[in-house]
Amino acid sequence: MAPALSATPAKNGAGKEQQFLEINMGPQHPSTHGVLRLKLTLNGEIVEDVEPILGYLHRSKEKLAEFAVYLKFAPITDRMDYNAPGLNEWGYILAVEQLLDYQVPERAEYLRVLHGELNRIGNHLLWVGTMGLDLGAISPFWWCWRERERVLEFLEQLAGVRMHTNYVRFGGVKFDAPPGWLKRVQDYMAELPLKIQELEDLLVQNDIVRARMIGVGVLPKDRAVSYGVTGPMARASGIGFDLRRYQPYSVYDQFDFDIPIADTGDVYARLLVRLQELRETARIVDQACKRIPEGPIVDARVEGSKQLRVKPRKGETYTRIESAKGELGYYVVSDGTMKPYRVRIRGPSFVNLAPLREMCVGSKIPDLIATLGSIDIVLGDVDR
Amino acid sequence: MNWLADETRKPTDGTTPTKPPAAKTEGKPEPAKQAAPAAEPGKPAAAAASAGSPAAPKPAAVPAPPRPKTMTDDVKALLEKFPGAFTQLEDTDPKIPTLQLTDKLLLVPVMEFLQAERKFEHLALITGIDWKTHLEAVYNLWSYAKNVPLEIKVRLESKDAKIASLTGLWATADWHERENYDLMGITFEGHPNLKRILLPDEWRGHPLRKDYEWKKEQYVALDAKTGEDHVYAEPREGAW
Amino acid sequence: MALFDAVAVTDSVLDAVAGVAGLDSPRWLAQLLVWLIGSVLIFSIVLTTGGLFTLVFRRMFAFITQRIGPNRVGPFGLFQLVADGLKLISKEDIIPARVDRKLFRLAPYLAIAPFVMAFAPIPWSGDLIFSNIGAGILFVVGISALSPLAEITAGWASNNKYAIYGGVRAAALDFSYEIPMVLAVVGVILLTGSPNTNEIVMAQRQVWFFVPQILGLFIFFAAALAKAGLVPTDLPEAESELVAGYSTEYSGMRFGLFYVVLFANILFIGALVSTLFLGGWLSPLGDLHGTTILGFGPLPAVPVPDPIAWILGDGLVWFLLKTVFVCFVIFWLWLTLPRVRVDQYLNVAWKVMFPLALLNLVIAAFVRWFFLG
Repeated sequence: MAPALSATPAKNGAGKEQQFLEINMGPQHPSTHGVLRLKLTLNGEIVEDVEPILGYLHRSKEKLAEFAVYLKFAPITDRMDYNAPGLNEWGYILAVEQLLDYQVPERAEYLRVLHGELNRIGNHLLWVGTMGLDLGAISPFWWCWRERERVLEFLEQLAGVRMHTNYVRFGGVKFDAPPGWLKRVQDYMAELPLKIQELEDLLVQNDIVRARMIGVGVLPKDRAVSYGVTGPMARASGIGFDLRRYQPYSVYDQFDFDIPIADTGDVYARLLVRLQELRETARIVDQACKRIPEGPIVDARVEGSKQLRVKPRKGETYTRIESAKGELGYYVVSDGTMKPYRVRIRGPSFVNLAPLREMCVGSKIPDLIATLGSIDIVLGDVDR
Repeated sequence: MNWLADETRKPTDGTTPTKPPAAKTEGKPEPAKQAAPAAEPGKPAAAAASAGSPAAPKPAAVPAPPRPKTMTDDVKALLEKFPGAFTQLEDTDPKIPTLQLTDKLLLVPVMEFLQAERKFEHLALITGIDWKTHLEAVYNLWSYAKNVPLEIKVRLESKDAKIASLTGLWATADWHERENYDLMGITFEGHPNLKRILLPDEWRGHPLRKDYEWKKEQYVALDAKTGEDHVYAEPREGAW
Repeated sequence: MALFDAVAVTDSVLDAVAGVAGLDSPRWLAQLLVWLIGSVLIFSIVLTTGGLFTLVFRRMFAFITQRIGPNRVGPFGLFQLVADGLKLISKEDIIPARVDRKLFRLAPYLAIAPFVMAFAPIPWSGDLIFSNIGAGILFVVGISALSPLAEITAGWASNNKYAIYGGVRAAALDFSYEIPMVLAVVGVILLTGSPNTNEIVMAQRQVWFFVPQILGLFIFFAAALAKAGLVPTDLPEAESELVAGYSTEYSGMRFGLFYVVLFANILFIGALVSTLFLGGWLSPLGDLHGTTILGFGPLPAVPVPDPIAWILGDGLVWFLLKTVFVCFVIFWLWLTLPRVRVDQYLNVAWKVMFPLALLNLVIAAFVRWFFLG
């Protein structure tokens, strides 16, 4: 039973009752960022009800995890949030490592951080581009893609593959940074803030953008906490929590970076927060390139094919990382064998999508599009 | 030190220093010093001491060996407020104290207590686990104010897995519970809209259960007139 | 400068031809021939330019986004529009099952017919004008007011909720922005004293109208963009919201017609803006035969050979340059700005543009009274 509508249709001049228009947005639609189906109930241009219908990209990953050895599930996790794949697999490997006794060498930690943060840059650039496209600005999309191309090149040089790199391993990483790679990445991090400035000049001060974004899709702080919203969307609503700062995993406690927080919780705040996060991420990558020590890249006890025969001890763990969209958590249940007993994935996009109805009811269709774009969902993460 | 108030955002938990490594290498007495006035006794200081000195280039995520039932302030408060309703479990993850709620009717009061008094504002995850003899619902909570986690487990019957819904307390429970109903078959009583979320509405069975016949195929077809999905046991002729 | 009297010329040609057999060709035959050939000419120019602009837009878009754009098909990619046209024509003509077939078929023609007709009174040069009717600019405005009809028809006939949204939005925008646009035009008519397009151009000999009517220029430009459905106001066709708005169900050449009309609309706005506000075919250097500018003069007659005088002086070249300049500005806006929101822009139409247009009218009257006597 769907929740009651917020208003009842009025009677028109002839005394006949009007109907709300029920229209389907998606699953194929240029703006739903994937196969998301929204059942809209519209009163003219005003959205009376939004019902997201999920599952069009459900690939039963949680069930698949029970059939494969631990390492073989890692590439499957890559394909959840396909805008920033490296962070998904890092989260999974980190979760299983809680049940193992391997020690990750420091160089490997730095490489993991570089790999993850480059993915995060790619994700935020993609988001800025598609946000502009949702609003109708067609140029920033291409500029963001040009920068993202550079990032994907770096990932290809590091891991051999542009996306879904399958790079993180238990106890370390798979490949070492090729010679000269660190310097190239560092040089690029000096260029990136200029490109971000271009994007800001085009989008942030534009009157049309401000009129379309300010006050739109507002999620107040208490509602954001109740909805379990995390990541840049939560930081735009005033929740100043970043897992990299307050529950640091890997070597994040050694970096000097700020956390952008906004108070208004509207689409404009999310834009500003993500643009600033791009800059902060560039800082992290820059520092990582400078500070990375020499050393092995994987724990010697688990090199090569031993990765496939990894046997965590019996137990359960809930481990979370700050992925590009928010808090990505893995609840791994191990029964002491080589295959997981249960893997439950907390997808940040799944959780962040829930407040859509509350944010959009009462606003207009263009606002719905802008809000949906600002949540930064990726359907692979929502449906898993 | 409440994230939800705009104060300084430094945690008081000793295991999470926020200074760069230069300060860290000479700060061996620091975490112990910070841990002493900290609210959490025992576990964090012990973890800091036994997890190796901060001076060594080790990441914070080094797993300690399994620890027996840890006692934090929240655990103590829960055991005091609801005597006899909990069993403490050996936690395999040293960072998360785990309690098992033996009386599942107390779930909502317990959660209310945790949310209101102990400041666990963030419901991170609701997990369903099928242990073949019984099901289990696991609630992972996190406190922004104190930066600590807590895990509550509830044992459910396989055939008739019912438990109260937490949608009145956290809005995020809505979709988590729907997903657990969809994939694991746990019924959450009091949920306003308990229907399947990831699978089509007419799907038969709950896939994540260990006794689910995953080799048996089900076919989904789109109704041309209404656009809704229908699920069939055999493939149909005609338009797919 | 006498207008090129095509009818007389055709009549004399036909007389010469018929005189061979000793006959006299009637005038109506010459008139008919002129109409036919002229219509075909205008139609082809409009559609070809529309097609050409798709290519120009793609190259500009590519340039702004650090790409190259179509450059393989023909020199500089010029035949890309031919390739696109051939592709669209050769597609299967899909008419969805439950549309209103008659209206569905009719809508593209409703889009293109009034639009091409509106090109008739535009003066391409001092002596080149297809139909020099007395009510020139009023005819243009009146005929282009029929454009929402095509959009609503397409939206309704498509039997698709997205299309209806597109059609309704188009109707709302077009009706709202009709009034400021017409008021801006009325300001220009006030300064000229006649709605005849050629006289409007010639009345700008002293000073081009964008100087006293700068407000009118911006109002007209914004209103014309809104009526044409161009960014920042391409709401009827907002791709990210309504897939393709009123042309969602159209494919093949029917869609091609809507698409070409969109780009030819850009040419139309360019031509109108340059005629009304930028001096039409007048050259900023005067006609090189001793004119006065802003009361200064007469300027010395510049002794230049005729071909150069033809380029630098008044005439077709300057009209084209101005039109192309305005089109360039429109493309520039398209590539830079995001889309406004429907209700915000309708608010702007009624609460901002309409009062400003009235103010502009008062300014025009003032200018007329003081400066033009």
